[in-house]
Amino acid sequence: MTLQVITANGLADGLVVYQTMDDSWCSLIQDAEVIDGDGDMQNRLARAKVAEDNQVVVGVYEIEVMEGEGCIRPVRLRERIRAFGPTSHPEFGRGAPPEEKSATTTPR
Amino acid sequence: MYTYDEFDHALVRERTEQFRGQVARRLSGELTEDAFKPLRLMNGLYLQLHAYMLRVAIPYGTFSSNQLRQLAMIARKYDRGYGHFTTRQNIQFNWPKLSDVPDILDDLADVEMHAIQTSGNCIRNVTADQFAGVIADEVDDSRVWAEIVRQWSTFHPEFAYLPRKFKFAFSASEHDRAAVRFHDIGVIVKRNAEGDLGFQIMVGGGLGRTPMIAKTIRRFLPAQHLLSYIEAILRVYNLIGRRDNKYKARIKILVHELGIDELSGLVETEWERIRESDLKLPDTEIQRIREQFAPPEYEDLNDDDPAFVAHRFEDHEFARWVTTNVVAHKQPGYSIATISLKPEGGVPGDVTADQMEVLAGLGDQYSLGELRATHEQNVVLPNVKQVDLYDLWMALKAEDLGTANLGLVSDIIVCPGMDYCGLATARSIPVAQRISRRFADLDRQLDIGEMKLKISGCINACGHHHIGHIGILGVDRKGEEYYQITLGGSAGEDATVGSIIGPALPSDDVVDGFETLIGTYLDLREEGERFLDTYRRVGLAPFKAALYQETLHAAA
Amino acid sequence: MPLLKSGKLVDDPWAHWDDDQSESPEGPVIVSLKRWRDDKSQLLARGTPLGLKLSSEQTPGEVHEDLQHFDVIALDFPAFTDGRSYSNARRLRQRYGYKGEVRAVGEVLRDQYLAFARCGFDALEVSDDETEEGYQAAISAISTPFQPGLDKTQTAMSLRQRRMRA
Repeated sequence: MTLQVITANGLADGLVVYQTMDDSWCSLIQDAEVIDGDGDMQNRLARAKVAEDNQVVVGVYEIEVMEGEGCIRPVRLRERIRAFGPTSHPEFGRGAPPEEKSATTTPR
Repeated sequence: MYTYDEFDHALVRERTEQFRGQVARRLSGELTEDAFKPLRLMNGLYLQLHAYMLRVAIPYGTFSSNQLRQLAMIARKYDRGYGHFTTRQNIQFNWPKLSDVPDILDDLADVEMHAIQTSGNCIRNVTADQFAGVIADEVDDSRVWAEIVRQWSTFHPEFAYLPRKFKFAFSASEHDRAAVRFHDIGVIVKRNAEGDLGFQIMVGGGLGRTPMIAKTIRRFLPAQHLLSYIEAILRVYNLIGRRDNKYKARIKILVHELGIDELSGLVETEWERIRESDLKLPDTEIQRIREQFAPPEYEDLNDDDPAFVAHRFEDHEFARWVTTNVVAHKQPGYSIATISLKPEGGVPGDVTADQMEVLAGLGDQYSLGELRATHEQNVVLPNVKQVDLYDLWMALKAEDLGTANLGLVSDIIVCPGMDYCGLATARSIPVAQRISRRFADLDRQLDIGEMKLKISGCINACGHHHIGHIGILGVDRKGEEYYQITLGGSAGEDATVGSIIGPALPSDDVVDGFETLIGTYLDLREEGERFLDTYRRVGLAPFKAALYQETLHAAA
Repeated sequence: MPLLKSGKLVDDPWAHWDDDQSESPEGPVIVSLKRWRDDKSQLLARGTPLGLKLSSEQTPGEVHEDLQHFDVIALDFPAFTDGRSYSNARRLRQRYGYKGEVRAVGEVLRDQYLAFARCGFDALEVSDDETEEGYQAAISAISTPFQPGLDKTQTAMSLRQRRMRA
């Protein structure tokens, strides 16, 4: 069962956003709508493209996520960095769950 | 340094207005992203993982204290309070809003700066020796020629949609501090036997997926023909450079596939037609530009100022910084001080708005208002009196800018990597930070000696790993970060592409692996040998044996 | 398609005779290099003005001896990011001294009008909603160029030289 969310960047400010259940866009992945299944995905992507066509967001695409301990984490490291902030600048972190903090803290 | 006249001012203002219009048309939907993207790239604006990124041009790395203060203001007002110096002598901001960029460009134009052509398939920022104008070993101030090429390349209507990006670098010394042999066109300013000034033109250097050393296309080009000749090269490249495959579109591939002789023939044929056109440089124009780079009013001083000498004798830490970070100026009594932007465990090349302001003040106070950015992501104060070095160093230390590690292990060149860049396959900055912390002891670094470590987060090689004495390339293995190590690269006149040592190491092992390589060098080195010298003498085998044997033992 | 000729929206007297059309349109036609090579004598026998369209992979050098037969040379931009035809336009004007109409066809967008003008194009096949005002705004975006071009604008270097002599 592949879980996915739809992501993009805000057109005017460039910041990372995720599509929510009501066709809006949020900045924290925890608030994103998790999509389960291809049929729903096509429909949701179509709604996301509308936002792209209306100059709300740019570069819509879907990413795989995993759910655990009540939080959503992307599967790919690149997407975890997008979701939770650059690991090189923890001062710009956004809502990283505890598992994420330990996973990307680099060893000495 | 070059000062704008009314034509230069008009150019950047008009470009800002034009871009303001383009942004408005994008935000209103009149321009699609496909039509807008090349336009915003030509204005240095990327969309990366977290946000837009604006790359501000610092032509041939020369900038002023006033400009740096403005960059600090921009960092605070529009960004997150810091900037990042790049491997092409530019500075970038990682968090601007598209809607703010026209205002940022206006603020840049106020101090004679811009972001024109710092991205896109066009001619990029022209880089040069960071010591141009102040170092004794140069034949001429290469910035005179870099500025001439910069102006000619700005909004060149024929070369805005090349097969791929195009990069120039200039040097005027036997010692190549600008890595000219790894640029699309590398220019060495020299004199012929008669003493006339001219250029050795090299073509087809580059890094990325297929690192190549440039080949000489013209041994000596008289100075007045600079623009017509490079226009001929660009025209030929524009017409026959490959456009079928993004990774085979640089001119280095054309040189490789055609051969330098055939390419040279095509260029000479084109050049013949345009040699005597308006592109020929009148002496008066060369002189006009040269006057802009006239040396400042230096005082009449002697070398080995007694106060400076005394401080060096008494303060071991200061002496160490002078040894690593300071070189002799061509003017007696002056010196060239390189400020390390690589503090222990820091993000290489990053500088906060506060640090920018302090540096700007130090530039005014100690360097006649002028600074330089280097392609190794450090900043230079090019005009410091020896007598001022001690006070300068004390002020730098207070801002975490006094690290005495220039050219040593922790003076790492690193791209932003997967922490920021949409192209990256692995993170690079954390590796640099870990190595920096492991080798924090400066005495140890001094013992190791010259070590140019360069780290890239993907095969595009923006961290220049191919030309590091040790290079580290981050790759993705089934979703995990792995790191491939190369040895023996060099960016200078002894241009060499590094050799891959063996299979990539998992992230957990890369710092230990690096330490093993350093240890191997220390075991094998002979009197006076740098790492690079030892490697060239003994080859890859001992390092490979040490590295992978160690790994095998660890796994056992 | 509307034609912007030297900045004015005009009725286009020319028709493209595409390779896949067997019947030729009436009047002046623009043909591909292939059709020119295959049917040169028939085309000349038509008695109408002739135009040539070059793809971005073709160069005027391939047909430079025949340029005098063409009142129009159309240079194609299959994507606006394919910049080869800028160099072809320059070569047409500078190397071969071509004095007829040089026309940009394909993906011809407002943000490239200034580059077209400075490379020697004097006609553009544009989208339906283009206006003369839009054209004027686009080509006056940058007033003083920094390299020699084929429009009539003085370069910064020549203006500075003139000022120095004064």
